[in-house]
Amino acid sequence: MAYIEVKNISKTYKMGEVSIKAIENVSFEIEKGELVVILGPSGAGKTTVLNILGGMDTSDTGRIVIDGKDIAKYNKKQLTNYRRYDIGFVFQFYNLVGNLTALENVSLASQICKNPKDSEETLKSVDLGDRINHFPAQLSGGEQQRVSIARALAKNPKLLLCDEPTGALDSKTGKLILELLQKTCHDSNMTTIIITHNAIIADIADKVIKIKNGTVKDIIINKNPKLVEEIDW
Amino acid sequence: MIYKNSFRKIKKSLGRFLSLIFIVMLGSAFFSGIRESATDMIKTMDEYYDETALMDYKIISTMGLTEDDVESIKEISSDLIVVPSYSFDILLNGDVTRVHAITEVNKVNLVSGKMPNSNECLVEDGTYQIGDKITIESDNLKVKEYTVSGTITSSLYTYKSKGISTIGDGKLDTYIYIPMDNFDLEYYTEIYIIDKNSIDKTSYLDDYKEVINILDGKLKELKPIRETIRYEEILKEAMDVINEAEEKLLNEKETNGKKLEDAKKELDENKEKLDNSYKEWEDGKDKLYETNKEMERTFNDANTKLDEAKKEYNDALKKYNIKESELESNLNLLNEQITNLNNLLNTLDPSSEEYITYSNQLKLLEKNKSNLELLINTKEELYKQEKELNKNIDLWNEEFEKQVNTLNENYDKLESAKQELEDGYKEYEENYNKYIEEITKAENEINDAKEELNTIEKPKWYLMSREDNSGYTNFYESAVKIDAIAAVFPIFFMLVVFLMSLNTMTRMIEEERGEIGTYVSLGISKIKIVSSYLFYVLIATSIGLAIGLTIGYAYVPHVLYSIYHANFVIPELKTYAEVIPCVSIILVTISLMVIVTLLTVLKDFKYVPATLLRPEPPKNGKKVLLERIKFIWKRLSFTWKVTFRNLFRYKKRIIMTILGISGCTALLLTGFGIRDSVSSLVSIQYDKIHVYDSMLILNDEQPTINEEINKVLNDNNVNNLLYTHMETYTFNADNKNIDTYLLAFDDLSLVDNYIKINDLNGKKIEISDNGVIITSKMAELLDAEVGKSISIRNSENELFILKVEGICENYVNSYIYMSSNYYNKIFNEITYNTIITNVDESLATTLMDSGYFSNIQFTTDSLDVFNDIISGMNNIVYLIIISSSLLTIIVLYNLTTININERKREIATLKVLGFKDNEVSTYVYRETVILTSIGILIGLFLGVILNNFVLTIAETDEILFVKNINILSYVYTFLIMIFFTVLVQVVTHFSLKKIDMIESLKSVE
Repeated sequence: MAYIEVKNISKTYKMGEVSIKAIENVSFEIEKGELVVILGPSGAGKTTVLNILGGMDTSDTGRIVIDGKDIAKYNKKQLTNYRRYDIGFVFQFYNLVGNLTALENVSLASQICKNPKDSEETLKSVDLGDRINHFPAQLSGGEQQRVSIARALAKNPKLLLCDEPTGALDSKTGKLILELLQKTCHDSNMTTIIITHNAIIADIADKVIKIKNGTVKDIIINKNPKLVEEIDW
Repeated sequence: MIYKNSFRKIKKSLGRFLSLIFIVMLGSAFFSGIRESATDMIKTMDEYYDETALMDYKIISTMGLTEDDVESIKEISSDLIVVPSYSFDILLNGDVTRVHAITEVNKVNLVSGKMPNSNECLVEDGTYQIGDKITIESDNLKVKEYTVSGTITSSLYTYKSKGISTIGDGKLDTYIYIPMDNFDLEYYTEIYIIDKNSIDKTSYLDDYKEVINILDGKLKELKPIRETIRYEEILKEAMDVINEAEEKLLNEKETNGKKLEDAKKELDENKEKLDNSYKEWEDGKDKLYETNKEMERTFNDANTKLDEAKKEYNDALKKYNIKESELESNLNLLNEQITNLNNLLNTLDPSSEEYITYSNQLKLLEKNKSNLELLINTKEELYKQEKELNKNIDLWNEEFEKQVNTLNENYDKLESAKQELEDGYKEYEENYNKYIEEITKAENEINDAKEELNTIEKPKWYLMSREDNSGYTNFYESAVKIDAIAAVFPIFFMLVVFLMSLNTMTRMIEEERGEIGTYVSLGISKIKIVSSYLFYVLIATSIGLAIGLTIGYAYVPHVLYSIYHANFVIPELKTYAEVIPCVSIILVTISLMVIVTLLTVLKDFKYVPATLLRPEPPKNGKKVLLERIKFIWKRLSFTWKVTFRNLFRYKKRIIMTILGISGCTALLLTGFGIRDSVSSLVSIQYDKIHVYDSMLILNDEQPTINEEINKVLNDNNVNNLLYTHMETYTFNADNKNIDTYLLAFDDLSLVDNYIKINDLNGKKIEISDNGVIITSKMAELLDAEVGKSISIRNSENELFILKVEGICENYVNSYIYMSSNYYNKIFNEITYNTIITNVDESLATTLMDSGYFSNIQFTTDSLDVFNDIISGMNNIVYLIIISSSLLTIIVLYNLTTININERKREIATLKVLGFKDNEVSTYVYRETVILTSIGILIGLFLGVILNNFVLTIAETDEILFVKNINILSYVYTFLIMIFFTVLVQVVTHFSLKKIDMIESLKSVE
């Protein structure tokens, strides 16, 4: 059995009278340590998948087994714990707390975990060892995103979920971030899911799940994923 | 189009819109309500006073008032309405009742029935029924039987306690009005004065006081003049009476004295006559007895003679051996023998022997016969003599008896004449004594009158303004003055409201920064953009004002008024929504809101549209000061570090929160504080300082207290009498004449039983003979210190300088305490007019009946008045507490909502990071709790200041508020604030829960 098994999940949002099907019968599997890119255009339903995988939303149907546990059956409290202990989240807009230093931002997440990594070490691992006492405003976008990644990693999660991690960055910085993600994934066997609309990024993934109109269009397994420096956009 | 958007905005952010409305509503309702209440109350009363033509001044005099007095007052100014009238107090069915004359001034307010005819009367509503018969036994009235024709209320008696009386228990219970003509009094008892200039001025207010002060000055000028004139009049009257009496006495002496003298002379003459008569009678009596004796002697002599003759005769009888009874028969026998002899002789020769013999015999017989005849003659003579004698004796005796009777009769006559004379003397004696007595009496009376003339006190005029009417003053004290306290709040309240709307608007415009940017970039004019916001704000403000002013004008005054209605007999409240204050509230509120809006919107126009379109850069994180204190910072847990970081991130929020919370706390605490002050004022003044139960006001001032008074009191178990000279003086401070009570004590050792004279540190001060102790408020007003001198004036405006030896704690009224010795040094020889002691209220009537006291003042009466004020005060405090609470909720909710809205993204991120709901809440709360706590603490501190400030403003010249806030009030305030904080946190907990994590994924817009 795969490390992560998503089976037949669907989600319908009710907006008053109108029902909007966000995703329907989405299924895929992810192995431990895989770098997966979920690819799709805006409004395809990839964010819904991310929300459900990240424990921020629930699926109407199907199951989501992660490391042998079906989170689809989780209640709110269990989901909170799931987010707390199993998920590391990297936001498109970094979502750092502005009045906390880099180190504090990392600690903010790690202090609630059972088995966190050392915050400072983690920051060093993302090459921010000399900026740990800087505030987000004193950091560049790439640096902020690295703090964000460090924050996610410090939690020592089972799954690293990245929502358009390069979306707010220029391509050079974006590549640096992707490099970091790829490296982390491979070096520490960290299951990483990157959600993006940028098809180029898909090249660096072990597995690419293409989503369109709420359904999985295609799952491509890259036998030889490209290194980040090999891609360009 | 842009306005349409405004409506959408309202719909979109209904909570914010409603909170704006609510803030404006609360502010305007509170502000207008309190303002309007005071105005309405004063005006309602003023109108009532004008309608009933309540006098501005009442003059009463210790000696009554005359038509001349009336005329002289009229001469002061043609603007004066001067109406003399009568009144007196009488006990009717156990109630001390004041009988008034119906006049054009102080008009009664007919509740039911009709105005009375000459034998009808009007009674206080709620006492007698129409048709009831009332008998007023008084010499002051021509008609004594009255039928109740109507029930009334009076603007003279608006308060439940109607004032004092000199009869009964000293408290006036009710009143009766009868037609003026029914009074039978030589002098007017009072004169009412209305200054026409005062009618269009509002009672209680400075305009009115100004007019009245002028009048007061003129009346005070007139007062001594009229007093003197009246005094001289009375003196003259008294002198006339004395002169008349003296003249009468002289006449009396002349006429009655003469009469008595004549009577005496006559009596004496009669006595002499009588004495003579007695002598005559005595002479007559003596003569009679003399005659009697003589007669008796004569009779005895005759008797003796007769007895001798009888003896001779008896001897002859014996000689002849004949018994008297046989005399006649012997004579007859002899005569027969003689006849026989003669016959014989005739027959015989005369010469015969026989003859001779017989002739001899005859001769013998003849001789015997003549003897016998002699004897018989003698006997007859004797008998005749004896008979005559006896007859004479009888006659005499009869005569004598007759004469004795006459004598006796005369004696009786004399006796009765004597009696008569004695009676005459007695009568004379009596008359004379009476005469002397009467003359002495009259002389004494005249002397007394003359003496009294010297001691006749100058009549005293009492000028009594409306301020001397307990209803008039108490209404002001308990209603209006309290409102003055409450009036300080709206300003503070409005300030908080202003801050809150500023906060709300700032937040709104910050949130819509992008929108503004869009408009600007679309080329929509700034004016249009600004006006769209103004439009939004003005709708909210208008609705808020409409509701707020409606509540403020229509509801609040009635609620406040109803609180006072219970203790007063006053008309229904009239609402005078005056245009100017109303408009000014509207204008001020609207301009405040406009300013707020402009301030916030225009700030954004400083940026170019592009900047506006970009999100406002998040505030830079900064090291907080605390961080530099390494040893503390290191010890703080991570979450606390975060809290402190967050705390200091938004300085504006800190300031807003702390200001808002501390403002509300201060308001609340002040609300409690005012209540504490007034209630502790009462308990401290009457339980800790003036601990005496009663003051007995004596009828007469006396240098030493009459033993009989002591006896009356001791008989009723009233002991430890502190003889006091009490007098009202004035001192001048802030260009005002302020009353102060001077108390000079006889026995200083007793003072501590009744008045605790302590300095401001609570240390007991002893009264010495070298100076006075004055109360703290007075010292403050006079800027007096121990060792300095102060000056006071008496009612005659004479100035006295007193040396201050101590300043003592006191809260109600001003007092000067001194020893009798010091009094003697400064003033005249002391006289006492008051006894301070503890008298049970049940003794009031007994003591008043003794006639020595003109009034008994009970501390409980003052307490009652204060308790009324306090109960009114409590209601206002509740109003303050409720409003502050509402404000607190709004402020807290507003601040928390803003806090949450500003940090939605952060909170959503935290949630995504796996923070549990309560961890998220704690993350936010911790800041709120810290800020709120700081706010509360500062608020408690500010509250003390605000409380002092409010109380200082509310303080009158007579009352010093205790500015200590009860510990419990701090606790209550704290708990209420904590309660609201918790309440708001509970509410926000749920709104935090509702924050969608998806929020964190959104781009920063």
